[in-house]
Formats: sequence, C-alpha cells, structure tokens
Amino acid sequence: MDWGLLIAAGLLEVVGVIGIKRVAQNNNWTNNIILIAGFVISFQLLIQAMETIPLATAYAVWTGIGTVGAAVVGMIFFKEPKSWLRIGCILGIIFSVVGLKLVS
Amino acid sequence: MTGGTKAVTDEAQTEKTEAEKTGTEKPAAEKVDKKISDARAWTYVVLGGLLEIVWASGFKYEEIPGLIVLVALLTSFDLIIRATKVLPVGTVYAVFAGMGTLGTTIVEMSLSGSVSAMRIAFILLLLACIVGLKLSSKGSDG
Repeated sequence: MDWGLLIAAGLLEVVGVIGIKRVAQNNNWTNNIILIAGFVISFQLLIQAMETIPLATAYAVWTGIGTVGAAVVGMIFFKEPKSWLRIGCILGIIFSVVGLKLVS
Repeated sequence: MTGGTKAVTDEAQTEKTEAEKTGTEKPAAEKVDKKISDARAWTYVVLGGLLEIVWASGFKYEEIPGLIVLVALLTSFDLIIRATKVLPVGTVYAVFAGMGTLGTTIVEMSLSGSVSAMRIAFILLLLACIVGLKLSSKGSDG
C-alpha cells in the first residue's frame, strides 16, 4: 500500500517536471497548475509513504523515479539529446544519489 | 521583393520609434529573457540546487525561519525554469536533484562529523557526473 503511494509520488514528480518544461516553453496558468499540483501532491504522498517506509529508502526511490522519468520524458516528448555520455551521466547521478541516501 | 523588404524596414522603423517613445528598455529586456547563454543557465541550475539545500534543510531543522524556506523554494524553482528554457529538462532536473543531495549530505556530515570513505566516493562520482553532463551539453542545441 505504502509502496504504491511512493511510486505514485514518483510519477507525480515526473508530472511536476513536465510542468517545469512547459512553463519554460510557455508561461501560462495551465502549465503553472501542472507544475504546482504535480509537486505538491507528490510531496504529500512522499510524506505519507515515509510513515512506514524508512526515510532514506523512500527518498532514494522517489528521486530515482523522478530523475529517470525527467530524462526519459525529455528524450521522448521534448526531443532532448540521447548521447551515451548524457545517459551515462544521468544514471551515474541517480546511482550516487541513491547510494548516498542508503549509506546514511 | 524590393517592395516587401522596404515594407519590413518601414515596419521595423515604426517599431523603433514606438520603442523610443515608450522607452527602449523593454524590448531589450524581453530579448535577454528569451535566450540566456548556456553558461548563465548552468549557473542558474547550480544556484537553484544550492537553494534547494536551504529549503530541504528547512523542512528538517526548525531553526530555519519559514519565510526563508519559502523564498528559497520559490527562487530555486524560478531559476530551474529559467535554465530549462536553454538546457534539456532531464539534465537540469538530474543536476538539481544531485546538488540537493550533495549539499544535504555535506551539511549532515559536518554537523554529525561522520565522514566515511563510501560517502566521499559517492560524492566524487556525483560531481564527476555533473561535470560530464555539462561537457556533454556542448555542441548540442539542447
């Protein structure tokens, strides 16, 4: 149940990131609402999931989904570059962020 | 052809005089806002990430006043949005998340004094990947 909440939180974070991209392209009400609603609901679900899932684990999973999601959405929907160096570096960042959270 | 060019020039001239009437600053400011340089966008991402440390720590430590947390939160998102106008959102968000974790880890390490080789290794890898992303964004139009 709480893992479901956590995954939903990660997916909503991706919605928030789509909001960031859309506001950057076109700063209107709809896009701002996508951004704010995405992140606010995402944080809310993350906090709820943290009641049973350890904080570091929950945060690591949440950031992992958000960052991978942001990169994938950027490449598929916004035609962002797909070089191996870029993909490798994004994966490296996720690996070290998750590592740092789990080590502490 | 010539007529068309002349019309365009005339239009540009009318615009120019109008701009002069209302003050020339506004169109210039709009142009700057539309396309900032890559270097400036990277500065925004790093600054946004540093501000994330402030507001993320603010959620944890109650000593930081709520107003500062709110201002840091809004400013960091504003910087991230500005950077996304020039750089890929996947890159911006990865660096933003990386900077936040890097900062909170360093804050935590210096407060608790627990420095481990493992943590240092992860921090170095994280920094290397951020630099790698910066290098990979060169030569692409983003």
